Amino acid sequence: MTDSADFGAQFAALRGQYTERLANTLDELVRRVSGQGTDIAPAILAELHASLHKLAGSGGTFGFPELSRQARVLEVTAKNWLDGGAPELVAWEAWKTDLSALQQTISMNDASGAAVAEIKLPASSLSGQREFVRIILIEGDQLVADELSKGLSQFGYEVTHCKDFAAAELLIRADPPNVLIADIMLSGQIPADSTEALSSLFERLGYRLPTVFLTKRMDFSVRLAAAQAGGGAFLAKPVDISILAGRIEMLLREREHAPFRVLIVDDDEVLAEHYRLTLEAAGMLVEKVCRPQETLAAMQSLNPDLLIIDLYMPDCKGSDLALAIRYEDMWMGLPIVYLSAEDDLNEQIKALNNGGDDFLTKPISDARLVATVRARAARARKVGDLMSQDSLTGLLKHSSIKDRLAHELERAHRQGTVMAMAMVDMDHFKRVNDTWGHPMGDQVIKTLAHLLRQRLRRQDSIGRYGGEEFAIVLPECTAEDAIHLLNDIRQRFSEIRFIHQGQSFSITLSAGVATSDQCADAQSLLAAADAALYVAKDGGRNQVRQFADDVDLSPQ
Amino acid sequence: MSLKRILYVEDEPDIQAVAKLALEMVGGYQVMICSGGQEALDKVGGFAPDLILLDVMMPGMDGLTTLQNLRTDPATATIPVIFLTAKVQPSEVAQYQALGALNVIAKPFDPMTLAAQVAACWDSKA
Repeated sequence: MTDSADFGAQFAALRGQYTERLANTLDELVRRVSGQGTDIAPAILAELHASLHKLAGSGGTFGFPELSRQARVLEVTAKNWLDGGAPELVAWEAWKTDLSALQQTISMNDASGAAVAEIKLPASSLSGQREFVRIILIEGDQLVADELSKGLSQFGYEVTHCKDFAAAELLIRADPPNVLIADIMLSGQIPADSTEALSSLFERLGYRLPTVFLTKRMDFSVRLAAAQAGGGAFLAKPVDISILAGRIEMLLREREHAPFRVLIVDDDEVLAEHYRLTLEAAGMLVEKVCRPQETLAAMQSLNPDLLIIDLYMPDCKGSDLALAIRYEDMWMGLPIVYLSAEDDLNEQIKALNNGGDDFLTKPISDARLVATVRARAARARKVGDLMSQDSLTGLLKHSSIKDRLAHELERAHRQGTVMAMAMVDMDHFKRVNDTWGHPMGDQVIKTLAHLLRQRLRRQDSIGRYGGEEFAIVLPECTAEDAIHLLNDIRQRFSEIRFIHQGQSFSITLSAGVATSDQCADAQSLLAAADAALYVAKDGGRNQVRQFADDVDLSPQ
Repeated sequence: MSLKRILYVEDEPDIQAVAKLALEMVGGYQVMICSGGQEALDKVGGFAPDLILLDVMMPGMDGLTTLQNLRTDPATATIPVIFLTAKVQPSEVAQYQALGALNVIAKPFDPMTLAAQVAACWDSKA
């Protein structure tokens, strides 16, 4: 019945025609909006809306899922304008810019002609604009759903509520979200029916989505079912919104982690090289050292997530090397895995007592090696993150952001590049606490943390410096770019409406920026950014100021 | 009754072509394409489909009106209808169900699995 090669060829031909026409369609769209202002005729807007709707519905079928996704965002905005009057100038200009950027989505797809079956998860968008997190909430109770949707939207998440998995599947197929949240017992009883529904959904889709399970019952069997279905988090109802938001952040971060860095210490060069290649093939960054005395130096430059040590080497025992490494505070938490032909249980126990975490007996299969390293490194990173992060915001703690600043400043000076440092402080934050209470104050802080994370690049570091003060390290960033970026954040933050018991309020922020070419060391760079922040506050708040070299930095 | 003949109502030529290809070559169905609601109402009697696939947003008569018209004619009132649409917000889907649609398939669809999705909807009917 099916001649798959023939189908493939015919589909490829159709795709070719579609792609050819697409360029014209997109040009035509851009031509139609050029020169148009916010007073655009509703009839033209309606035509644009119809064209975008078509693109959203067809792009993915022909192998352009990103086109579908971006077109849908534009379509929804256009619909809102059609329903609710003329757009505002800023929104209209942004919309036009995004419309012209649709062209770029075409080149974002591979040339294989693969269609939606290979849809990629929506990880990041092209320009960094419109990078909001979409959530589908599967919840039987309308009141609970309303409350969760409202709470999560305060954190900048866009939530769509579905009553069951069938409705959710349609939405996912049309436009995959970043995260799923599902009540684990839609039927209200054990067994937890959602776990099975979720597993079969992922099977049909051909990919998985990070999932948070919500539960009324904390029975062990329910907890286990959640784990078996691959749930990334499991939270009791009634749900604390800030905890839920934190878990969502964590799940999203897990998706985009940097490759694990692994150092191998083994005197057998051939074997070490084999391990190195195996782990690199699994996507890790690996270095090898064949002389134990070079270990610490290699660790300094690589900053590994995990260390693999051969237990028997001519110059020293692996377990002694482990102990020597543990003398350094900074390597206390580093996972160490021994490799050895040793099968004497007593020797193994002794080696583990000396500061090792695991033991792999040679010969070891490649799969086992990769699995062990990955599991150990992932866990260590998670624990490390928790230790260096501020518990309220998930941002770096005071001491960690200072470490990061010192590191980046040193790198900038070494490489001759410029980096920027910004201090951000909310205006009249105390009034929020006084008027709306501390829980609301916490929510405002978390919202700014979330906004910062969403707007900044992956290589940037953000720390909670004080109560309502944030420090931002921006590698390879000029003062101009930093000011532009912070002004954008300032603008967006001031537009967020916080809602408390039916009343709403907003809050502004001030920021100070300084760059590495103005300061020799981390301490003075911090002081410079702080001085600029002071100038911004003094100048009336709700503004971003740059450090001017003539400002007196001496303590007052 | 097994599924053999499908009437697909869709205004966009690219989507018409790829859906026809997928349903015929992958699913082995007989497919007739109509470019709008009125054309579908005109041709449905002659083709006598087992199933109708219906786009929602079309110029002229939209999918919802087309379904309402199909339901008021006794000759076509019982033909199962599946919406094939990008409009799949929960409130929209509830509307399709209220009108008596058998099911909904989301756009953009995957040409490789479209036939299987249609077959699954058809089987769930029994």
